[in-house]
Amino acid sequence: MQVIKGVPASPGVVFGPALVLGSEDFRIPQVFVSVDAVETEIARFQAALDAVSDQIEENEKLATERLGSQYGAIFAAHLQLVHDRKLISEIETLIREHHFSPEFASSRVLRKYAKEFQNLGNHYLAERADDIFDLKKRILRHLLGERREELAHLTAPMVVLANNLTPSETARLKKKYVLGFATEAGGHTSHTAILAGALEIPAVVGLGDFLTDVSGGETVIIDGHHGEVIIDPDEETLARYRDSEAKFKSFTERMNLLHDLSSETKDGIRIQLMGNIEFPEEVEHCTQRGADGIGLYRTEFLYLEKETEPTEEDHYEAYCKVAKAFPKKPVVIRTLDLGADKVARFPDARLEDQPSSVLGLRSIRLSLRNQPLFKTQLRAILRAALHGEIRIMFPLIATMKEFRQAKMILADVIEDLQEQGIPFQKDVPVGMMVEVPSAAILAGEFAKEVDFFSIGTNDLIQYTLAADRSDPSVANLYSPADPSILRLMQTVIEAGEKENITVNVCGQMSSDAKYIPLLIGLGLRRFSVTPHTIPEVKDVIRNIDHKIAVEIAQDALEFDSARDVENFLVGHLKKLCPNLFL
Amino acid sequence: MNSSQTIRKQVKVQMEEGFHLRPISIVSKLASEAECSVTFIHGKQKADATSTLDLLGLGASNGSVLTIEATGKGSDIFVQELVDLFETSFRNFEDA
Repeated sequence: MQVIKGVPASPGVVFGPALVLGSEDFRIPQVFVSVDAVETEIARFQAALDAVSDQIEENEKLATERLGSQYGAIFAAHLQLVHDRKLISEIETLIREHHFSPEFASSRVLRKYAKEFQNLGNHYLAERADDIFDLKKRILRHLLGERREELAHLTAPMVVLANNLTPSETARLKKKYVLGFATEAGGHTSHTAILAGALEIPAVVGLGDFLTDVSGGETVIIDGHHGEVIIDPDEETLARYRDSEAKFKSFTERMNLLHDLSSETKDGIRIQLMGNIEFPEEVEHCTQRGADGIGLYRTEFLYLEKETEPTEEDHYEAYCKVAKAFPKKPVVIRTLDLGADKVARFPDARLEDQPSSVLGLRSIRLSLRNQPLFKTQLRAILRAALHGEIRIMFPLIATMKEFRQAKMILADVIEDLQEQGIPFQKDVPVGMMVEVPSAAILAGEFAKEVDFFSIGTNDLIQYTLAADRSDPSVANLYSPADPSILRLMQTVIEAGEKENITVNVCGQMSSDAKYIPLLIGLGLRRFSVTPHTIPEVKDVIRNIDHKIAVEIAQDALEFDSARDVENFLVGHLKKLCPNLFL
Repeated sequence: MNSSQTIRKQVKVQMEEGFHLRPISIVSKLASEAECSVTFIHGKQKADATSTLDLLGLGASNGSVLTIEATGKGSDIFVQELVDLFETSFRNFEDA
């Protein structure tokens, strides 16, 4: 039995047989081919190369259009690899003379080169080994006609273990077959973790290397509360977890009873409790739990799943679906926030090699540079706004100029729609995410120009403390309780109060019970949380007295370390809500 | 000059990432299109210039000196083309 600690990404306890997704995702069915099949197999290999070549060329075009020619050039270089005569002749020789199957031959030869590069002790070459492994995967994928892979072909519920899951793979996980998952990489606010929470699949991430110790098939327990993974548990441990699972289920039932109760403090202050969603399908989780609306509708899924850009109709449908589910309550749509870790559409794009990509051309910056892309989304939002109470929110605003530019483009879109006689909602409220420190510092100025603020604590913490939210090695720096963050939030909330605009918090911080009293005490009256935490958050709200919350906030601001603040808040939470599942 | 002689010239790699995938892919493309046969030599290692993988295997980092060897039709012109590349666009190569 092995117990490994990681970062809890999505709560819940599950256990089941393990399915291991290694970097060698493909089971090569056949090593040898018969003598008479050799020419057919060579032809099949060449067809696969052609297909891969076409695919890379397309990626090159897309990347150049979207992101610039330096990114396109990465694919051009891959293309050269695919056409490498020496490589091709080596593989074909193995097929012709040794009767290896194209899968086995390609795998053999590419691995040989990759290993050579890895062993040359040159950092750059070692990374090129990755390119070669990637190429191998592509070729095998075409030869075997499968996409990665076993995930799509599961027939029984399993626990999935992997080095990492891309956001788009996570989004496709089927709860029926995936009981839970655990990954070596990732942090608590990495996109994969957020998606796991949205799908309500228990998950643990950031475990570090552990896959080499698992072969697949053994029983694995995933404890999403404590961030633990137990491989091959003994009887005693298994019994304890069965018990735990039962307790969690009854806790969930208790929480469901809160559905009909209003979210207000003990002394009657009403707090708006809204949901953060990724996909239109999650709206049900929010309506079921009595949410007061959608505080953050992330729109990236529209871009993640497909090979081509979503059309205006694709956008429109997705927005209408959510607006109609909440006809009288606010639905805040965030415009494209596509960034480095979310560009799942370009599986080979070495964007993660570019150290400045998180601080580079993404999100609103990308939208402002690519007006057709931006306008398509804005048009769809304005048209969908006829069906509900939609609000627009711009992410990653760092300067006043950006906000004004975005608004100007919105004005253009309004004019276009008017001229075209297309029905749409005028006067849609326009707000911004406060997640860049510059915006928080100048909140007083921004408050005069926006209709609302939404504090994106995930990125605000990352940028303010310069700690990568998906890197487990700096997880200790990344804390919402850091005094700097509390002060920034205070600035933003006060700026909002002064100009009488609503301020919302939509990062993971607002879903974390211990911060609720503090946030209410600072003046927040609107939270947008992960849907499955709505009952828990409501429970905390109903157990607080606003006056006490103010005191807690004032005291919390006196500490000079995140750790002290956290301990202080946990202490108070235990007193206020002793029956919470802690 | 008899253009089927073997022409040899030396070039210096002046790129931060060394002679890396992108300039390599440019060289291998040009070499595949040339009529002469071209070899790159780094120390004891030889690489067929039409093979990206071979060139990668040279592991030529920033500051390395490479010998370009070409034999056949147009070898003198082609070698000069490559030398020019290394001295102009391959210096401070703009990477993504």
